[in-house]
Amino acid sequence: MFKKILIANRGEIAVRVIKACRELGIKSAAIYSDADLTSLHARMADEAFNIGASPSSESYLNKTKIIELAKKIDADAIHPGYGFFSENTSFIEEVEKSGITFIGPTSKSVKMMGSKTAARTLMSKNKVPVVPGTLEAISNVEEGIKISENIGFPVLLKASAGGGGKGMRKVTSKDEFKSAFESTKREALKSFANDEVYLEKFIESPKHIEVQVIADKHGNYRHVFERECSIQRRHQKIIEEAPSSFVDSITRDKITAAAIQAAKACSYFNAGTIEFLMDTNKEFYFLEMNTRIQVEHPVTELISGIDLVKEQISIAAGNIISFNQNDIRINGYALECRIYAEDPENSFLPSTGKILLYKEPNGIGVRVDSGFAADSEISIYYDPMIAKLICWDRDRSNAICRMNRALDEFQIAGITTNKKFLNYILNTDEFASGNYDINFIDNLNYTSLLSDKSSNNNDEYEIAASVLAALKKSNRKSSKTKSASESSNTWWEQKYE
Amino acid sequence: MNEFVVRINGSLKQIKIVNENIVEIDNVQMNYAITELSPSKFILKINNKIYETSLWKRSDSEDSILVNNYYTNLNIRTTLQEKAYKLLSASQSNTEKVTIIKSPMPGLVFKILKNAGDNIVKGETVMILEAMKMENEIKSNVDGTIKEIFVSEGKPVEKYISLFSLK
Repeated sequence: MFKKILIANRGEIAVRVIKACRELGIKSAAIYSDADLTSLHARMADEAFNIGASPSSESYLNKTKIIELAKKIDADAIHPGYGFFSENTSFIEEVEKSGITFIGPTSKSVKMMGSKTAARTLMSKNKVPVVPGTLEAISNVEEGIKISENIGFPVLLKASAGGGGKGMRKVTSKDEFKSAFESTKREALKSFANDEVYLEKFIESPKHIEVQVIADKHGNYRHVFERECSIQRRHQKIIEEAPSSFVDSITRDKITAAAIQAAKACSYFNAGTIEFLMDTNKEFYFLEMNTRIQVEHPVTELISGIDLVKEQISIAAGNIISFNQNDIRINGYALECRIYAEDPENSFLPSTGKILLYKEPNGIGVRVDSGFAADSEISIYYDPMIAKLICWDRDRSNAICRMNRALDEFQIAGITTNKKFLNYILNTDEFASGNYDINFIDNLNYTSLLSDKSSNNNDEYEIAASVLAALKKSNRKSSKTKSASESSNTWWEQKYE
Repeated sequence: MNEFVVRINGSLKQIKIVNENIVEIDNVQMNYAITELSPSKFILKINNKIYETSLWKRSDSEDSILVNNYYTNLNIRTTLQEKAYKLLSASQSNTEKVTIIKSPMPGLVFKILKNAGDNIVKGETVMILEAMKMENEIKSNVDGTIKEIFVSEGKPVEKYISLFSLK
């Protein structure tokens, strides 16, 4: 097993990896940018190293500096987390050359799956169903329009090197094509340093179903069931669940077999995820493979009992997978809500600033994966995700009740979050019935969410807030508030027997 | 001077602190008690319910408040300040009305799509602000003509900086 792992990431996933390292008795080394000095991952790691200025390009994306640091501090492995360098083949190649173990697949596997177009070709060859569209990057607007007209509008423009919802646009007509093509290219270049864009047929009303796979260096392949991530906004997942309420056991057998087929096609080892779109007839199409740990991995952990991050580390060290396929069963149901620093009442604009107060919920079946604490800073430089709240219960409806309860307990002040929006989604009839697709949020009637102030329970909180403000404002002029010890309020001390 | 006007989420509340135990909210009397845990943290009891609350002062009339899980910004004035405010805004509305759109977050002005003098309708995108690797469209919330653009492409802006004005 490794002695020291350098974690080339930040935020909640860095914290998650540090926890796994600690349980395995491995030393963890964190890197942090100037803006992240106060962040939780830097505080928690056994060792922490400043890697550069706040912009990612000067810190978390500084390849040479990270690998040099790993050598200098005698780290024997690098865990990339998700995002940043996790699927960057040139980074992985350099790590491989340096003699340090990359906790992930080989650069070759990543290359096969990293380009979405190459992956589609590979999947077609290996009898994994794919969505109709181009297998090559589109070179110009005219070509794109011609292909779109062939397979029929609407189409989806996607960055070849993309993922995580960035660099994707739906185009409904010829007129929209040019501006969509250009802005997708721009975003792709900025986010992935590669402006190749391809297109595919836009499938109406699909569900997003993905399969967690694990493979080791000895050719063993396992799946850890499916997740459903249909609740997305601008292709960014918001709520994820496992198992999917839409997938029956026959479909599950088919889709997990296809996922393992996909992993084998690129000689994969490490934890990985095969994403599919599933139409209303339960036909599914390969979307992409994520050759890394996924944001939503905790829901799978809660229903299977498998610690995916520890499994990743163990596999990278050359061990065989710790369980057999028949050892695991789906136990209960789990869902995850992503708490974002964004304002649902103001076009979901990101909210930045200092977290003034932060208190996580707890109790049976409640898990919080977070990279923040009180006094942490939400900066403009990185992803606006504050925490992942994950709830488990023996069935879906109970788990949803638990999630509502846990969301109510979660206290975050200083920045605006999407908590209210999450509550709203959880309590819709569609969510309760499981009857929704990836367009659910786009089709939501926002005005009803925003104007519905009278009917939600905020009235008593608004009263309490107003009273507090008034008391403090009157105090500013007159005497101080009494402290707990000198309180002489008779009504307060009134006892009931 | 124990009467206040609070603006919270688009609604208006009249608060009157009657004495050490009683507060009147929109003419409804309630019992209260408050205990300070730290300079920003308070336990507030209203009737038979206890709330964990925190208050951060933003300016003389603006506070950020957390009540249990509920975080909000509000605006508070004494009734006298409210009268002065109303007189002032009434005199302003007689002159030409100018709306200023401010940056909702810090970021980089990525692209400016309109020029001063352009007529725009509510909901139209005027500029694109880049933050957290996402392009955010800054839209006008009123119909009007762009009077002035205060920023230029490629420049970073702080939160609440005036981006452009409309008349």
